[in-house]
Amino acid sequence: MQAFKLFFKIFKKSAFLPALIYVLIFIGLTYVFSSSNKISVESSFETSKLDIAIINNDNSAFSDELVNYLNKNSSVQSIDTDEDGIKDALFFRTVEYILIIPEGYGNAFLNGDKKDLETRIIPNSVGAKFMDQIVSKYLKTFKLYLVGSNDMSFDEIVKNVNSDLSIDTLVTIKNASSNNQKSIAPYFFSFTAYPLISAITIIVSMVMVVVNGKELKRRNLCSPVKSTKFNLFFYLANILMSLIIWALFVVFSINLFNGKIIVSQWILYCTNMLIFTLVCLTMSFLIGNIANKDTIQPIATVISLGGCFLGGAFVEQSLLSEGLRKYGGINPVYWYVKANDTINSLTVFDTTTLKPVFFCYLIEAGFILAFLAIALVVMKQNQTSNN
Amino acid sequence: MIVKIENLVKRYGDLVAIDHLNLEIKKGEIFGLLGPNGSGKTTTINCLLSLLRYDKGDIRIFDKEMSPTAYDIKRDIGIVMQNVAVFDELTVYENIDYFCGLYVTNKKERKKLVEEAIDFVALNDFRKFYPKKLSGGLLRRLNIACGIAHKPKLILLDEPTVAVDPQSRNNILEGIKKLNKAGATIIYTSHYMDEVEQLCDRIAIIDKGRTIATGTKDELKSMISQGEKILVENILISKEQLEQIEDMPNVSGTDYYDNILTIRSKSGKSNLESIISFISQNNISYGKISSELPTLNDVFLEITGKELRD
Repeated sequence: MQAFKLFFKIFKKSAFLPALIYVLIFIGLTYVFSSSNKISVESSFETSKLDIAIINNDNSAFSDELVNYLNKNSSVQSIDTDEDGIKDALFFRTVEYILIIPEGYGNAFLNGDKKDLETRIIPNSVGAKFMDQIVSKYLKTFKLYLVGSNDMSFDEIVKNVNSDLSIDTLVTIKNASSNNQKSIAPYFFSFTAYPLISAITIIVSMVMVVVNGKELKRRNLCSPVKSTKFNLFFYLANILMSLIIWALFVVFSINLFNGKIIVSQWILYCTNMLIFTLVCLTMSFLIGNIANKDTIQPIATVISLGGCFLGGAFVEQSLLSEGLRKYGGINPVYWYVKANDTINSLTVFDTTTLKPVFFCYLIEAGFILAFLAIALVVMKQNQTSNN
Repeated sequence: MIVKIENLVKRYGDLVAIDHLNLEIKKGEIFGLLGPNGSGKTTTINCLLSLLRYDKGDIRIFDKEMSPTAYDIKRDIGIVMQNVAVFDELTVYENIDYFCGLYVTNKKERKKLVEEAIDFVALNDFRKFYPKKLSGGLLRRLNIACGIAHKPKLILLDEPTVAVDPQSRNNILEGIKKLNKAGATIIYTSHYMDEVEQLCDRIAIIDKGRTIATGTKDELKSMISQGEKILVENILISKEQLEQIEDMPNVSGTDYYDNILTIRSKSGKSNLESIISFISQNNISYGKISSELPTLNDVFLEITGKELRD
């Protein structure tokens, strides 16, 4: 128990304040971020009407009906119909889409002859593509009635087509992406990589450096306390401290996302954070065995900031360069963030969809084993050189 | 015997740090390990505490074989390291409590022992101080308190007065005597011969990892041919008178230089009276006369041919 108490006494004196600063800065930034910069994800859908122009050179009953239909689904503007007028309308964005109905188009369509509508659009306009779909939908529906119902009059077909196309389907978005807070969750959990690395490295490494000091270690070895027992309690204290920090962020996430995030998703995020906490812990063991009191703070800063920048905790991984993404595999933060991004994209939770998440977990677990193995080798090396 | 070391050998590669060292330390004594820096004192202590693996030999403490897992033996040993081994992050009280807690699990008993240790090293006014705020002397006292708080039967003090001011040094030496009076056997290593001479019942002189002499200070001094040294200052003496002094029965040699006469006596013999009477009978004028008994440095010098502080 002496080792256990010793850990917390040293922590209180030398690591509590710097670790607290990291955690408080993170919590403060998260609150500011969540309250002032909520990322708006649309939870409802409203059709927007595109500015278009129609030049009807046909003026047949069919073309008039088509114009009527387009009037309902877009905002028809009047423009000069000469070539300069058309170009100006598109250049000055008066309209994004101009439909030109050639003369005789109505008769040709009704008789099944091939005659195309002409369109003039702003290049690469998404709205123009949308208008193409609307026009195409009208023509295809009309054609369906023409071919399928020979005994139907033109007026009946027009009536049926307008009736069919006026049906709206009510869509309720049931997945979590309908929630404003959802979009903050992956950022929150990915950003925790920074305070987790900083706080755990400073606490665990700092205490380890103190206790592993040559003279104090020798002094402890002179005592009747078994070194295995001493180390057991000491490592338990390390693990407990790491779990406390993890729990702190879990509680904080509950406070931030309570009822606003799918529970399964939250559990996956927290599990990912727990595994990453253990990565930080074993990494801190390693640092504690190679660093000294003066170098811990700089090492913690370099590892936390460097790891988070290169791993995509601060900027989205999709924005990272090809090279960084390629070599990101050697950075545990990369896998932690990747797991969070994958969890964020989940709407269905089954073994197939969870497979990539578990894969990231496994890679992180690999880092735990690697850091632990290297730390044990370094510890053994130090022990041998002392003898 | 409290401690028995037989044929201890410790090598660092080609360097033999301890070369077939033998020691026997009796219960209740203050045993001094005296030797120049690098003679093997600290290595011996480290082997004794099983902090170092040794190549050959046998170490027994309290009639039991010492090993890294001999926790029952370690329970009764107090250690004061050469370099101060305390936590900078703990206060004076917390440090003593921590080290005492490694030996004494009972909280109530420990509290009492910690208070006694603080009293013993007179750190009452500094109990809430962190080590970095303490002076060198106070820090050494804290180091001692951490080593002795659990009231061990055997206390090892490895050069506890290095870099300590004379006043603190005297306090420490007085404290060690008190611990011994309270029943503890003490092993004291130092390269300060005056300390060892003043403190220790028996002394082992170590050089190059070997025990070159063991005994009480008188026994050690009697081992060498040199005895009392008489110094007569501002004396004017003729060559004939000098020869007469050299012919005296217990005189082993003389030096006369710059009006200072040095007369060396044979081991265990005194010439002071006969010299004084010779000077007065011959009406020889002199300024000051003094007598010096041989020191441990003389013992070391005669045995090894070099100064103890080399």
